[in-house]
Amino acid sequence: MKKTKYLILALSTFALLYNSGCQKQLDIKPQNAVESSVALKTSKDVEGVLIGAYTAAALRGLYGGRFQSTTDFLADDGDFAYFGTFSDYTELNNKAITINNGFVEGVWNTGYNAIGVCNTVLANLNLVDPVKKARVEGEAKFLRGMIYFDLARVFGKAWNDGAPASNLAVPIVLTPTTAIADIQNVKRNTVAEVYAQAIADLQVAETNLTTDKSTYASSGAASAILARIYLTQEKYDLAEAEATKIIGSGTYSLVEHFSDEFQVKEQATRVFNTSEDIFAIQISNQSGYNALNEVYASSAFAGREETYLFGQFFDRFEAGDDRVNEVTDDSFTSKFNNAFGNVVVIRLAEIYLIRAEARIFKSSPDLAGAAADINVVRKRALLDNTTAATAAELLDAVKYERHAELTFEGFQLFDLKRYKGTTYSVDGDGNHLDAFPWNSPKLIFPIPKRERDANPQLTQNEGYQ
Amino acid sequence: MKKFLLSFLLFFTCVTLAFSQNVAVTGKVTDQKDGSALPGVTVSVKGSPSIGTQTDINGKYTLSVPTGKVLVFKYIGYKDLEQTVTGSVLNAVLETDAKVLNEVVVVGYGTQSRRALTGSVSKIKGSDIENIPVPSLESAIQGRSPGVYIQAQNGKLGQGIQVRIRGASSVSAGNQPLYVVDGLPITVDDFSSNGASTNPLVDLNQNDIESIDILKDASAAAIYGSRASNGVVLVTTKKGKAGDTKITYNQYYGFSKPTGERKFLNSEQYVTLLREAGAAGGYSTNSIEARLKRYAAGSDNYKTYDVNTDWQNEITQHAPVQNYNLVLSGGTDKTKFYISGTYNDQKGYLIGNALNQYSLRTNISNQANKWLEIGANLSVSRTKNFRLSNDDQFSTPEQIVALSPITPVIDPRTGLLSGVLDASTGNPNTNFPVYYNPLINSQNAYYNTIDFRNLGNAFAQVKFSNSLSFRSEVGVDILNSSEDSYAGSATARNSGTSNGVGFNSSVTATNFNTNNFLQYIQNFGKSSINAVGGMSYQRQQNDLNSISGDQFPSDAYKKLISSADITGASSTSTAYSLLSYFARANYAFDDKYLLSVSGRVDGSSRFGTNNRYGFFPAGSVGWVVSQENFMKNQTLISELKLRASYGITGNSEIGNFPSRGLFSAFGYAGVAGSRPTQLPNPNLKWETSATSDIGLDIGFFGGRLSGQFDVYLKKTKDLLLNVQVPATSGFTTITQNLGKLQNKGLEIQVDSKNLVGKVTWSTSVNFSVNRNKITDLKGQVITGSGDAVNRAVEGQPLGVFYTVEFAGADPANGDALYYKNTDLGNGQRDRTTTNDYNQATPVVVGNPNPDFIAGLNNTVTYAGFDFSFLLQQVHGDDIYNGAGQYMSVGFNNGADNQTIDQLKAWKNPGDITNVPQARLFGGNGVNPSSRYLESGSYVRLKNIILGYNFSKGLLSKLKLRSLRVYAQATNLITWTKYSGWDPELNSDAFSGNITQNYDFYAAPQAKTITFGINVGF
Repeated sequence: MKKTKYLILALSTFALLYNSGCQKQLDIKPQNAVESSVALKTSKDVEGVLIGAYTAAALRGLYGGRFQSTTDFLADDGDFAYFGTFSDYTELNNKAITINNGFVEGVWNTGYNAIGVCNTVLANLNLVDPVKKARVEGEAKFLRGMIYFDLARVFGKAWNDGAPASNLAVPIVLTPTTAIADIQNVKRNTVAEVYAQAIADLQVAETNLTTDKSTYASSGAASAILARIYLTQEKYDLAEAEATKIIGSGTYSLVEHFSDEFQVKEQATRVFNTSEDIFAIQISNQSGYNALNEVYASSAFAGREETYLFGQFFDRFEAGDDRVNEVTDDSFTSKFNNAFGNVVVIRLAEIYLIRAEARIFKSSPDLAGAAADINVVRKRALLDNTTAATAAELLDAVKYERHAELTFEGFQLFDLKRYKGTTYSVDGDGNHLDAFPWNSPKLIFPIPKRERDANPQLTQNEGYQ
Repeated sequence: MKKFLLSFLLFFTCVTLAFSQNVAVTGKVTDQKDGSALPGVTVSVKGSPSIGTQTDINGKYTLSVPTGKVLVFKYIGYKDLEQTVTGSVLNAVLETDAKVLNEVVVVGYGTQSRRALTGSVSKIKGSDIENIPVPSLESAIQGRSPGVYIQAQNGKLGQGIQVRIRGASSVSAGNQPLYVVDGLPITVDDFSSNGASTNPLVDLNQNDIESIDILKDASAAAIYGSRASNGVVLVTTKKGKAGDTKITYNQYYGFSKPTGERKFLNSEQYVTLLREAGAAGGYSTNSIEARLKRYAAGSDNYKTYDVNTDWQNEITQHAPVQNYNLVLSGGTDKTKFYISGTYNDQKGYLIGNALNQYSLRTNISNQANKWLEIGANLSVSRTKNFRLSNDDQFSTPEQIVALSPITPVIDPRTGLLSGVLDASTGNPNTNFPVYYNPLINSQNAYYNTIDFRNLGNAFAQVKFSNSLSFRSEVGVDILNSSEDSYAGSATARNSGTSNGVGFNSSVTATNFNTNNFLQYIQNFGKSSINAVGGMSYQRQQNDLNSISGDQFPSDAYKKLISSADITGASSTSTAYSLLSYFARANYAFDDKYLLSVSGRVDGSSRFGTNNRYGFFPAGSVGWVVSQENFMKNQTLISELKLRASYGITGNSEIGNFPSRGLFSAFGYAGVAGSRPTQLPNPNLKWETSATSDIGLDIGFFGGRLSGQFDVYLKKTKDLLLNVQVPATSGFTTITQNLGKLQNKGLEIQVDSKNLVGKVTWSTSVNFSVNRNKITDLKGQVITGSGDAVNRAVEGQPLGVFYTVEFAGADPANGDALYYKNTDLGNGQRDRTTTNDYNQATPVVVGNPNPDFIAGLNNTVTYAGFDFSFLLQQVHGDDIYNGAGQYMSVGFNNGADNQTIDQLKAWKNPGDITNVPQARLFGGNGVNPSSRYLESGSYVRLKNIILGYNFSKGLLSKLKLRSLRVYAQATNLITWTKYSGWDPELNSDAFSGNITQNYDFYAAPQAKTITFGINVGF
């Protein structure tokens, strides 16, 4: 028994020694990611998170392409038909979105994820080198402002539909979540509040950033989104002023041929931005995902070959319009033939058309100026100057140009609502079935079911209860 | 660590010297059956029971005793033996007592006789699963043990297998058991990169397995602490035995075929139904005819149905399997060895699928001196798996069924496989056939995985006294798994790049483990104690590199050195460690009353700093009623034992860093950035299961008929859940300990020796029922992958099919109808129907968990012949065909070829049918609903063997020790009503804890017939 005592003594000694050595062994640091406690220590760390905010906004669920494609699918009235296997797209195209629609949920989740990253940057501005602080703040606020505007216009009623001050849009969250206890069940803010937040953010961005051309956000990009917002709000003088800032800066110029704007297959893609691009999501074969290529391109160009153009699409173009040839490839659009091409979010042609529209409606209309802006775009499309003279004719001309110029780039739904038009669901041959007026609840995204399950404070949109 | 062991050994060397002073009778007690050592045998002097000792862990004893006396050897489960002392050495050979359950089971850190066992352990003998031509051992044990539900994913070789012991105990953490090979918890991570999991257990050669012991209740498993909730599978490899060196050669050859086939439309049916669907979908006749002509390779011969391709035939190949295994084993009293080498070459029945493997195992042990035994078990293997795309890819063979029967295999316009070349562009076709032709992959692409695996475990065992010994084990499991793939230019339609795409990855998983523990065996009068206690430390690190690129000069260049565009490269590393202390004591009084207590403290790097250590205790009691005097006067019941146990176990399989707040890096236009990807949760800890088990072991007629019955209740709390949180927080899920679930069930195992003597016939039946129920998810609904029809819902079993209930076709217009099922608030639901999918409320429509599983094994021997068969049954589960929305939907979702049930589609007003109208791209009835749900019950002739052992007389002429020839079949016949390929499935692209029994082009299991020979020299 004595021996056993020794044994126990010896064992416990060794156990203790061994234990203290192994205790440390339980502290294993993650290698593929870093712990949040060490992720935000320096200015460079915060600048890195700002880049992270671009990567979040660039995800396929948002500006990687599905923000643009989901809204275009919802607005389409028979320019194309979707023969693919994503029921999410089929629902959108049929104007019959379910509350489980994955792409709608993706827009919401991706949007708020990117907003959260922007909020992380903004909450840590104190770490940023003073000389960089204004830029970092401006870029983060550009992204946040743009996302809030876009979330408000897909999840809320249009600005011109009833009372923006009482219509609900999306919740405004301005602080990052760093601990479980921070998670809150927020309520939806009104359309007016979210627009105001977006404008406030974008004004800081416009002031803080330079007007130089940039791969990242710039003052010009902020002006462009402000111009979009003001146009939507029918504040035409402000819209014209913002557009003029961009055009007047001389930083951007239209590319010579319309097709030059769109990257061809396997074109070298790293940091490929045309002279016309004001803000583009940067995609390469190393990072990013072009969801527009996925849904629109034919399989010869790595797309899923699921979105076929109908005759109606071709018939809409004026004779001689270069754009119909340049953007189509058999029954598919060729705008997105490079699977690793950038996704252009803002380009100069749109700014001319914003200004044209603003000039028609501003307090003291400038119809000649509007025609001149339209003609800039028409000239590049190898078309003669517009013959439109009256305000109504010029508006029709702007509508034509916006469709011909910007189709598949994520504008149709918002144009439909601004112009108070009507869209239709279509059958397999493109014949119109049911009509959906611009203010139909079916043309507004539902609040995703997943989000409402997690946050019962969120009310559902009309028609989805 | 090494230093520590050395000091330990040195220290005990001194102690041991002090023990060896007595002049004594020494000897070894072995089992008559196989010569193995029997530890814990009571050795006493007849007439003076106070003079006595017991055998040590090696079956040896030393006892001071005058010559001429008689020694009595007593051991539970064996007949008492008396032998007279004649010299200084007295060995004893004990004979088993047929009246009692005498099996020895392996438990954590030791062994125990079945007789003294109070926990629930199932044992499968290695001999039962030898030479069965399945890729991994789980398939071999399917149907052989109650409470163990095994489901292979599909018929592709070496794919992941789902094993559930007493049901799933977790919603989001792992549900696979812990696998321990010769004391070393092995690496079971899936390192596959192609979206379908592989099974690292494929690297274990099942012919080297002596036994598989499955620890099921908490009493048995809690010694494995935070990893025991899903049960523990202990694999013991074969060891050499003293005696002549035995050489055994095994060889088998065979072939496999798919177990089933699904029926699709032929050309005439396809053309007819597509025309009908086109008209109903609003397409002009011209556009439909143009479409048909396109699918018919531009020919008008579809009108006469000249081409009628059965695509399913095109994806099967001749699938031979061959296996060669040479074993040398033997040794002396001091040194024993077992050396085995195996070559296995198996072709899958799916085109392009194959697995070949060679492995070598050396197990040696040496009794260095009286107090020290050392040894090592080492195996090396190399497994090459020629793999296929996952079930969700157009390139996986089974998706070929989507192609039109009017499409020829060879495109007459080019003389090449349809889809390879579009003569008008010189590139692969982009819209012919209807989808990418998977056959193109079989000729133009490969995806190979090669595993190199070293599994090594060295041990030293020091004997301090007959009662006390110390064992130290140091093991490493080094797995290097590399993947190499290339898809050539002809695969452009699928791979997205026209000049070839390559991928290569390599992962090295280094898993170090050491166990150091004391064993104590002592009898005090009528009491006996068997105790073990010690510590264990484990660390696993996985380092992975991968690279991918495209743009190759031609398909002759396949390695990435020839790629002009490296599109991705990455290296990652992850690790975890586990530091544990454990102890167990088994106490028996008078061989009647049994008590066992155990506990383990586990510290894990995976959990939050606030909860780094957990304690997992368990206790159990047993009462051997048959040992009581009142049972001695009857002969009917030879054995009767009641058991009860309760204990706490944990589950920590949720990845390595779920408790940490994390930022991850992302690139943007060549610039690096980072963003938060996970919120910290310092309170995160293991899931805790409390299991109660009540068991009864009973034997009749001297053991001719015996049974084991167990009922259990396993309650799991602190479920690790990926809790859905508002996305407005910037995150969509966080990992938290919330939620509860439970499993309760019944297990029955009955063994009967129906006939003994010249003809022997034995039957073994197992039957088990498990009822899984999620009791608390904090109101959450967690969806599985795929169509999200599998859900985790409170009050329901894990993975229930939760979707809209299909109500057939509207007789008026052929629209798909659904029951509204709106909750009317009074316990009733609105049973009216609607054609608006959004109006219908999803409800529970089915359950992927079986009501019961069962196995029936029969073995008959007569004059050298042996015949056995194993029937396996799974009953009451449902299967959801996730591909139904493409293949059984009347062209409503595309031009995929359709299953023949679509011929019953609604055509005219008044038609009563369950198949809605076929409308091309019409979306009619496409959405997930109970329409795609079917019963998955099946009975399978899992295994059947007929063998012949040549007689001793002939063998002696041939100078052979033994010779056996046999024929065997696996999965020969399956009885099921499931209309799909095979009812045993889990789509390899979607399977998970929640997504179960989800069919998605899952290839059927293989039916394999082999012929083999075993020769002993």
